[in-house]
Amino acid sequence: MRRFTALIIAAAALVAVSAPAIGATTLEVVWMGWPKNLVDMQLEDFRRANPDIVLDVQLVPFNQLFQTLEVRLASGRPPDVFIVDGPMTASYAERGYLMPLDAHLDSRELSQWFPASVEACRYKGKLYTLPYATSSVGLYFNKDIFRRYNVELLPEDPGHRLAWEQVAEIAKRLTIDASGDGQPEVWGLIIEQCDRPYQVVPFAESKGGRPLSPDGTTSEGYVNSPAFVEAATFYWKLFNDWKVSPKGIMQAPIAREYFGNGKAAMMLGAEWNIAQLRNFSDSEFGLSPHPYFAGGRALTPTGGWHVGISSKTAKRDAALRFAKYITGHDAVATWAKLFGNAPARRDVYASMKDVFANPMWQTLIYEMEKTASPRPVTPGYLEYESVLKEAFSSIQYGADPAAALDSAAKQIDRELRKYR
Amino acid sequence: MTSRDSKAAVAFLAPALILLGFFRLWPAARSLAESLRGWSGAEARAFVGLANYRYLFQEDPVFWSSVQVTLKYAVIASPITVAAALGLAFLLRGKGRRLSFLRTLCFLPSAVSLSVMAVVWGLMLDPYYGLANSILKRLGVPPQPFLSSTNQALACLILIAVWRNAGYWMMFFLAGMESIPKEVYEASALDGASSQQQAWRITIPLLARTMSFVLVANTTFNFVTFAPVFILTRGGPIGSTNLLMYEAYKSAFVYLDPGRAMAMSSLTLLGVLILSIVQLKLARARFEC
Repeated sequence: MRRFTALIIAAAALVAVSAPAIGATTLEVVWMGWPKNLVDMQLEDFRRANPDIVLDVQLVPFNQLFQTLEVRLASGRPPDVFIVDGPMTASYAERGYLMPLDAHLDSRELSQWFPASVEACRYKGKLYTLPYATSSVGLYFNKDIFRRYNVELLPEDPGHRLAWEQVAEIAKRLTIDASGDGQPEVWGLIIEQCDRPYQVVPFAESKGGRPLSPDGTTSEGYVNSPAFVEAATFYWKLFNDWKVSPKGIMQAPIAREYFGNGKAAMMLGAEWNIAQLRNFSDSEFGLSPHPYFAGGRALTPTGGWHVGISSKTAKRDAALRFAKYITGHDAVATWAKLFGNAPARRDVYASMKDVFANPMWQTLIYEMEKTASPRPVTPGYLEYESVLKEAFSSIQYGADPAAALDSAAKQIDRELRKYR
Repeated sequence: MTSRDSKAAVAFLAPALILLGFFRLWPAARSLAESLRGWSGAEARAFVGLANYRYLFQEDPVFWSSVQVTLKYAVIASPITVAAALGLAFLLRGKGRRLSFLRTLCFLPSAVSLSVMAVVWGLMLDPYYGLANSILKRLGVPPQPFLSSTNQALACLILIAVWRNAGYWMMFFLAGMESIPKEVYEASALDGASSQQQAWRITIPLLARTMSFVLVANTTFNFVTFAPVFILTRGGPIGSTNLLMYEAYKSAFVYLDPGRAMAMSSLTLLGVLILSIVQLKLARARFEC
C-alpha cells in the first residue's frame, strides 16, 4: 500500500513538473531545422518576458520542411506560427492558410524592413507574412588551395565579377586527383544548394532566360527556353564533362563541410557562410561576387525566410506577439550574430556596423542593392520549385538538359493549371 | 452450419472486419472517389470523371516510367526474397540454442524501424565515406557510387528489401514446416528417401499454402514500398528508383495534385489485386494438382 501511495505521489509530481504554468498558452511553432541550441539562445528573452506563453518549437530539417508544412497546414490542426520561404507566401495565401496581418502592423513598424522584403510578404495586395531574413549569394574560395596550386586569387571587390566561363577554367585547374582513383581529393567548384531553383535559375537568367510567364502560370517556353537549355548544359558539363563538381551533394550543410574542410576550392554559397565558415579555422577564405555568363546579365539570388500566422489559430494574440518578437530588431540581430542570415531590417545593419563592415558582407550588401533578382511570384511556387529541382538533379546525374527541361515544363504546367 | 454457429462466426470476425473496413476499405474507397475529382485549387474540387486516369494513360511519361521501375523492383525483389526466406528456413529449422539464436538474428532486421534502417543503410552506402566502399577498398574493388548511380540505386533498394524481409518470411516457412506431420518424414525415410528428396518431394509441396501466402503478401509489400525511397534516393537518380508510392506521395504533397495521386494509388491497388489473384491461381495450380 505504501509503495502504491509513493507511486501516485511520484506520478503527480511528474505531471506537475511537465505541465505548463496554469493559464499559460502553448504556442506551436514550426521552424526551420537550425541548430536547437542557437534557436533556444535566440528565444531566451521571449521566454523570460512572456511567462504566459509556452513555446512548442518544432525544428524541421530543410529537406523535409515544405512537405511537413503541407501536411500540417492541410490538417485540421495546423501550427499557430510557422516559417515561410518567401516565395511560398502566395501559395499559402491562395489556399487560405495565412492570417492577413495588415490590421496588426502600422506603417512605422513596416518601414523598418526593406521595401522589397515587405513586397514579398504581400499577395493580391494583402500582407500575409513578416520578413525574417533576406539573402544573397557569392563565390567563396579557399585562398590556401589557390596559393598551393599557383592560381591567382579571385577578385574580392564589389561589382568586380568573373564570367562563368573563367570560373570553369579555374575549376578545371583546381580539381585535383593526385591518387588517380577517379575521386578527386579537391573539387574545383561546389554549389551549396545545387539542385534548388534559388541558386540554379540565376544561371539561366544570366543568359537572358525568364523563370516563368509574367502572370506566374506558364512554364512552357520559359524553363525550356534556349537560355535555360544553354545554362543547364553548362551546369551539366560541370558534373559530367569537366567533372569539376561532385555529384549528389544536395544538402547545403554537406556542401559546406566539403568546402570548409578543403575538399573544394570554390563554393557558390549564401551569406550565412560568412559566419558558418568561422567553424573551419584551418583555411583562409575569400568571397568573390556572383559570376555571370560573358555577355549576359549580372544578377544574384535573393529572398529569404518569412514568418506567417495560421488563419486557423485560436491564439491570435500570443501568435502575433511571437511573430513580432522573432522578426523584431533584437531577435534578428541575435540571429545574424549566431547563424549569419542577412537581416531584412535596416535597423539591424545600423546597429551592427562592426559586423557588416566585413568586406565579404560589403560585397553581398552591394549585390542585395544592385543585382538581386527575386524568385518568380506564383501561387504554384512549391510545384514549380519541386519539379525543376528534380530536373536539375537529373541533369546533374547526366540526363539530357533539353529533354529534362521539356519534361519539367510539361509537368509544371499541368500543376499550374489549377491556378489559372 | 447452424444459425448459432454463424452468429458466433460473425461475432468473432466482427472486430477484424470493423478494423479492416475502417483502416483499409474506407480509405481505399475514399481514394477512388477522390481520384475522380479535379485539381485542387482555391475552390472546392470539382468532379472530373476519368480525366485524371486519362492523363495518366495518355500524357504522363513520369507515371509510366514509375510503373516500369515499380514492376522491375517487385519482379526482381519478390522471388529473391521468397527464395532467401525459404533457404534460411531450411538452414535454420530444428531445435537447439544456436539455431534459435541465428533465427532471431535473421528476424531482427524486420523488427527495426523502417526509417532507422534506411538511414543506417544510407550511411553505409555513402559513396565517399561509407562503410561499404571502405570494405570494397580493402578487397581491392574500386569504390562504387551505389545510391547515386542510375545503374545501382534500384539494385541497392532491392538488396535492402531482401535483407529486411527474408527473415520475416522465414518465420512463416518455419511455422509451415512445423505443421507438416512427422509421420510423413518417417515413412519416407523408411522408403529410403534422402534428405534432399524429402525437401523437394515432401517439404516444399506441403508448404504450398504458406508459399502462396508469402508470395502474394511479399509482392504486395514490394508494390507499396515507400520509406526507403523517401529517405535514401527521393526517386533519383534520374527517376531510377521512382517507385509508384513515392510518385503518388509527391503528387499529393509536393505537386498539390491529389487527383493524380489518388488515381495512381487506385491503379496500384487494382494492379496488386489482379497480380495477387493470378499468383494465387498459379500457386494453387502448381502445388495442389
